[in-house]
Parts: sequence; structure tokens; C-alpha cells
Amino acid sequence: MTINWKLWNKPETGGVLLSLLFLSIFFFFILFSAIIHYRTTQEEIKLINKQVNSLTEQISNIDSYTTLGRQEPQKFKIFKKKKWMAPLTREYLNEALHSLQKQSNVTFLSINPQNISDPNNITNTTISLNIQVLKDQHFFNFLQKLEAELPGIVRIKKFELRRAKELNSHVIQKISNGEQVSLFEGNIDFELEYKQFIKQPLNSRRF
Amino acid sequence: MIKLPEWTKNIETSHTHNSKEIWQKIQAYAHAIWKRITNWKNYPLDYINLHECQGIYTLYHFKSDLLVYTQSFSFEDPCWKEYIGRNPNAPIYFIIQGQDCEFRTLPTSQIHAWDRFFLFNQIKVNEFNPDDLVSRYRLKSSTEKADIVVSIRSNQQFLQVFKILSSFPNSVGGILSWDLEQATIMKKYGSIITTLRAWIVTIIPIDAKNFTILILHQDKILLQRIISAKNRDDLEKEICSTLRFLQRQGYKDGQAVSILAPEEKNIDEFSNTAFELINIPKKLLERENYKPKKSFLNFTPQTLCQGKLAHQFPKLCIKFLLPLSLIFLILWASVQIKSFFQDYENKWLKNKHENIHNKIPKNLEEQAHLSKLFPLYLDSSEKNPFKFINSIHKLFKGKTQISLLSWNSSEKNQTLRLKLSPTTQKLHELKKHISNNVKHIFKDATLVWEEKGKDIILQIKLLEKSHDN
Repeated sequence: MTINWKLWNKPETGGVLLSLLFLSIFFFFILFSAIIHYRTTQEEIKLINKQVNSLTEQISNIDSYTTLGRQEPQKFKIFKKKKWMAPLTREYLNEALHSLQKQSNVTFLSINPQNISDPNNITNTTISLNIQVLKDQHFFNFLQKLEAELPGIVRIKKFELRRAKELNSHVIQKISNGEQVSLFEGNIDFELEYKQFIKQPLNSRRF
Repeated sequence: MIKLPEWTKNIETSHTHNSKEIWQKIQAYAHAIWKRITNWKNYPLDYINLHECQGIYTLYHFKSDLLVYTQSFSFEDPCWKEYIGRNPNAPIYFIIQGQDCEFRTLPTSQIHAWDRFFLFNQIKVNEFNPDDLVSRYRLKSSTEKADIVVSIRSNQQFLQVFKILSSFPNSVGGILSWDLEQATIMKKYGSIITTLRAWIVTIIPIDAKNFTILILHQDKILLQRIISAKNRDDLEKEICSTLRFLQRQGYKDGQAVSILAPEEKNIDEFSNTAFELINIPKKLLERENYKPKKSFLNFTPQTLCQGKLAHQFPKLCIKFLLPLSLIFLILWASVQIKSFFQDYENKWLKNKHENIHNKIPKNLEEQAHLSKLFPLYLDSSEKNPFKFINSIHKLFKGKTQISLLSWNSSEKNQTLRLKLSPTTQKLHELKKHISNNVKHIFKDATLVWEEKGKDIILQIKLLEKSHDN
């Protein structure tokens, strides 16, 4: 094959020039669109990979969650009862503590929540409780209910229970009269961790 | 910067640079370039044929393939230049007749196709003058791979014509040999009406007495001669002597020859029975009907190259655009190949994602959220002392009063401190009770007894996860 170089000397050069110009623009355009397509696909692959990995991780987590649930059925039941959908507010926390108080025959002397950054959405806080109880059993019951019924994850840091009064005929008389008497006084420091579940909108879940 | 001859010359000769003049020149260049580019629409319908035969020039101007003007003149006559000046967009074809051609066969069977072009250029540089008209054609027959180099030596008058042509704004379509063009036309016509012999002689009249004869063997033009013949016998003698000369190139005496001659010469037949006469219609050979759209051979000497910006600029653009287009094409192809595999991967991943997505439960996100929290809950539940406390409470129930009970998670081992107030008699029993039962409740527990006045302090130290239900 030989190139007819004399073609360039011919008057149809203008036609050839325009054709080549068009061809160059056309090739540039298809090259440009091919690169854009390539980059878009690359981004898509990254996104899908991320989503697939996330889904796989979630599924694996759920599997181990179910397995753990089978191994610890009682704790699983308690954990599932906890509500994770609503945000944990200061009011909701107080309400939950007072509900526990009623159930466990405990009197609160003071409640000191600390490190609350947002009172309408508590995620992590340390609470100090100063309480009075008639029996030590009430204190232990309260401790148990604290873990089971308070929203979120409860980590007891320390507690102390001391006898405040001795049981004598005078105290027994007061109890039989229906007066509120406390023989024990105690402190509980615990950490509360809460993570609200927020449902993602549909369009952000699917590409 | 591209230095074109015309541009450089202008810069060198102009001593004063008037910006207005320069601007006007640039405008004129741009206009000329633009005109040349837009002129492609007229090609190949508008053109000028400048015919030369024995020093006499004839100008034929065709518009839309129709002859609109014809004029014969001598070279010195300025009127033809004026006429061409009035039609600056029409390409000019310079057609020469009655010039001696030389043919040289160049066997290319051992040469690569891509080397033939360079070989030809090398031959041109080494063996010919830059003013010579040199061209070549390739034999169509597959048996012999050869190129035929055709050359016509330029005379003094031709050089002057080339100089004038290069000064015109008109582009030069090419320089053609009338004899070669006619020979190919006659052969083509002859092959349509009859079966031609291997040896062909074409007779092209120059004037009443002079002829150009071309001898062809199949596709190959072997020889061209200008002969003078008064009658048919003279012509036959000349043909016979030429054929005898060609015996060295394979012609055998008495071998049949097809003779192609125009009708008007009234050549009925030859006395030599080996000669087979084929008459070609006169109309086919008229100069007024000749349209050099697809010329057989196009000669353009180096000296005729038009150095004007209007001619050079499009050429430079083409030389730049062609590789640019190729680069774009190659890049596009490589991107497409990569894209193909990437698209496939993307499709596969989408399907995978779709499959996973279809299988997952509706409350996946909630479940996933809880799955992250549940191990934390279990961990905190494990560390919290509820079960531990319950067991202790059961252990001491009814045995003694606990006046103080404390627990702290920050200590290395879980340690429960109990302050007891047993009577001295009961202390021994209590110690025995605790020592016996504590091992049932806790696997690895260390008991530390301390006496502080009336109070007894008991520390129960547990290793992590050592307490039992």
C-alpha cells in the first residue's frame, strides 16, 4: 500500500481538510465520551463494591448476632425489648429511672447525669445515683432492673451499699404503720451508652 | 514556527513594517486560505486544461464539466495569463503531447509494500532532475510484481511554464501526458469491444504526418516513439521496425498484435496479417471532451510546488490532523478495550448486588444496627456484677448482717468488699460456711479476712469470668 502524497497538492485539499477536521473532532468526541463512560463505570464499580462489602458485612454481623442470640436466649430477649428507634432524651431517661424506682421500692436522694452534650439525643452519659432502700434485696433488684429495663447499654462503674439504721422495735412500728423507712443507703455510678437506629431513605440505599 | 517560503521572503524584503499593511496581508492570506478551502465544492467540475503540443498552447475552460471557453495562443501571448487570473479558483491541468517518454521497469517482488514508496523517492532523487516529470504505475497482473517508472525530460520552455503556474493562485491539478492518457483510454475501449492481443500498439496522431506510437505488452507500457509517416505503408514499416526492436523484450516475429488507431485516419487494414486493426471512435480522443478527473499518471515536478500560504496551510493542517485523528482513534480503541472489561465487571457486580439485595430481609438495617450493639450489651452484661451480687446475697442470707458492701469495676480483679458484724461465737461458723460454699459459687475466688475492731472486713477477689451461676 502506498500513500498518494500528490493528493495533498490537489484542489480538493479543502474537502480533505474539512473531512479530516470533522474526523478529528469526531474521534476526539468519541474518545472523550469513552473516557467519561470509563470513569463513570469506575466510580460505579467502587460504589457497588462498597455496597456489596457493606451488605456482606451486615449479613455476617446479623448471622453472628442470631447465633449469639441462640446462645444467650435470656439476654437476647432482654436486649430485644429495649427500644432503639426513638432518640434518648433527658425526659425519657428520667421517666425510665422513676419507673424503675417505683418497681424496686427505691427512693432517689439524687440523680446526677454528666457529660450530656445534647439533652434531646443522649448517646453517652455517666449517671450517679444516691438512693435509699428498706432492704438490701431491694438494692440488688434495682441493680438488676437497671441493666434490663433502662434503655441502652448499662455499664456499672462502682456501687456501695451501707446500713444507715439498725432494725429495732421503733423502726418495725413505723413500718407496720405504713411509714416509709429506709435502712440502707447506697451510691451507684454507671455509664449509659445509647445508639438510636435511624432508618435510611430508600433512594440512598439503592444506586 | 512554520517558515513558509513566501512568508519568509516577504519579511526579508520589507524594510518598513507598517502594521496596517501587515494586517491587510494577513487578511489577504486568510481570505486566500478560506477560498481554497471552500473551493472544494467546485472540484472536479470546474477546471482549466492547458494543452501543449509542439510549442502551441490551447486553453480549455470547463465549468460544471461543460466547455465554456477555448483559446489557442503562443507562450509569449499574455492573454492566457489574464484569463487564468480572472478564474483564480479553477485548478489547472497542464497536458503535454508529443514528448519522449522513458520507461523503466522496477521489479518489486522482493521489496516490501511499505518500502516501495521510499525506494521510488530514492530513485527520483538519485537519477532524475528536480524539473523532470517522473511518475510511476504498478502493474495489475499478479504474475509480475513490478512498478513502471515513467519520465519525461523538461525543456526550457516547460521550466518557464512551471514558474508561471507556481505564481498563479490557482492550484495545479497536475501535469499529464496526453499520449499516455490516450493510450490507456484506447486500450480500455479496445478491451470492451474485442479481445485484445498480448501485444498492443496505440497510434495517437499529433498532426497530419506525425504520430506517437506506444507499445504495450498486457498492462505494461514498454515503449513510446514519435514517428513521421506520410501514408499507411510508412506507418506499418515504423511499427514493424519498432516491434523488431522489441524482440529483445520478448516479442516474437509474426506474433499477433492489436493495433489501436483513431477512425479519422482511414487506416483500413495492414498488409501484415499479424496486425489486427481496431478503430477507436474519434469523439473519444477529442481534446474538448477530455476530463482529467482520474488521470492515468500525474506528473508534478518539485519545482512546481506552490509555496504560497494558501496552498501550504491546508497541507500542513492535513499533515497534523491525520496523525491527530489516528492518535485519538488509538486512544479511543485502548479505552474501549479497557471499558469492555470494566463494563463486564460492572454488570457482574450489579447482578451480584441485586441478588444479595433480593435475599436480604426487609429490616436488614435495623438488624445490622442491633447486631453491632448486641455484643457490646453482652460484654457489659458480663462485666456488670449482678449475678455476682445475687450469689453473695444468697450466701450471707440469715447468717450475718452486712453493714457495708462496695464494688469497683476499675480494679484489676473484681473485688467485693463486705463489712460484717458477726458475734465472736458466730464468726467461726460464718468463716466455715463461706469457705465451704464460696468454691461452689466461684471457681477461682480468693478470700481475705480482716478484723478492724468489732468489724470484720471480707474481700472476695475474683478473676475475670470466674464466677459461676
